[in-house]
Amino acid sequence: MGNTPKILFTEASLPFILEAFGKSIEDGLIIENKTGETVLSPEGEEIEASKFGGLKKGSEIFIKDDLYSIMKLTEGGYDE
Amino acid sequence: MGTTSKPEKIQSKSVADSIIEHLDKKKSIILIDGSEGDSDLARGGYSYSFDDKTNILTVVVENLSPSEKISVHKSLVKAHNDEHLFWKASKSELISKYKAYSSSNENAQILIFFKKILKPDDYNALKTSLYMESLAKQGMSIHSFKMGIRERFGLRGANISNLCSANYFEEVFMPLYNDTSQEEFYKYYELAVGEKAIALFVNSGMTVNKIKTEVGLMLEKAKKYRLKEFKIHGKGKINVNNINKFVKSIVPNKDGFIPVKLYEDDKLKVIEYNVVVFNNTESE
Repeated sequence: MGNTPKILFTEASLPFILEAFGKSIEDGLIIENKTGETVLSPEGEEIEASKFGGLKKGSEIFIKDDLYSIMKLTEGGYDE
Repeated sequence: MGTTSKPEKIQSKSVADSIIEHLDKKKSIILIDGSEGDSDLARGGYSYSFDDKTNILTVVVENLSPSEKISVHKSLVKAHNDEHLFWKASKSELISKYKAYSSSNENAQILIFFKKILKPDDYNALKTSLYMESLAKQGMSIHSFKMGIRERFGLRGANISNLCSANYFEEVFMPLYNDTSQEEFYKYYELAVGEKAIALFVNSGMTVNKIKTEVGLMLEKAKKYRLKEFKIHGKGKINVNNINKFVKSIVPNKDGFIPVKLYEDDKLKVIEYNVVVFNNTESE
C-alpha cells in the first residue's frame, strides 16, 4: 500500500493502537506485553512512546518519528 | 476536525467494518482520544464521524464500548496485514513535504558529491540536516528535528548540522575536496567535524561568560593544530547580542586574538566573526 499513511493516530490514542498489536507503554518505552522486552526500531533503538512515529508491515516494523526515520520511510528504506 | 456529517452512534461491527471499507476506498482514518480533536464528537458519546469534505473517518477510541474496541482492534490488525501504514498524525505532513522536497532535487548536487566521500553516518547526518534547513526556510520550527539529529548521530552529527546550516559543505568542504589532496581534505574535515576546531556555533544556552570559555577552548585547539583562525557563528537575537557583548569585552593585545566581523544581517539576526589568533607557534 506504499508509504502514504492512511491510518493516523494522535499521541493520546497511541496506547489503543499498541494494544491491538500486543504492545504497551512502560516507563515511557514501548514494550512487548508477552515478554516485557522493549520494542526496537529497525536501527536497534528502544522507542520512547513520545518519539514513536508509526508502524509498518514487514512483520511489525516500529519506526521512530525523527526526520531521518521519516526520510528513510518515504524513500522505502524500511520496505522488505 | 472540520465540517462533518451528522455523527451516528453505531454498532461495533459498523465501526470496524467502516474502517476496512474506508481503507479499501483509499480514504484516511484518524484515531483520537476524547481529550483531543473534536470535543463535541467526544462529549456527545459518538464513536465516529465521517467528514465528507476531507474524506476522513474520525474514530473516538474513548467512546468505544469494550466489544467495539475488540472489533476495531481486529480491523486495525487486518489493516496492518493489508500493508497499510500507521502514522502519527502530527508528523504526517512531514512525509508529504519530504516527497515534494525529494522531487525538487533541491540539494541533489551536494548529496551526490558527498555520498561518495563521507562515512555513512556523516552522510546521513548531512542529508537529514539539509532537509531540516529546507523546512526551516519554510518557516517550520526545527528545534525537535535538531534534537533528533543529535540523538541519532551524536555530537558529531549535531556539529555537522551546524556546519550545514552555515553552508560549510558547499562553500568550504566541496571546493577544498576539489582543490587539495584527499589527505589534506580529510585532515581539515576532521578538524572541523570531529575536533570542532574550525567553527564555534553559539547557541541560546550560552551566556557571554560561556562564550568566553568556549572561545578559550577554541584558542587551545588553534594552538594545538597550529590554526591561524576560526569562526564564530550566531543565529537569533539573543545569540547575536551575546556574541557582540563578548566581542566588546575582549582586549586584543592582551587576549592574543582579534575578532573580525565578516557578516551581520540585522533582519535575519545572523552574525559571523573570523577570529585571528596571534602567537600561534606552539607545536603539538
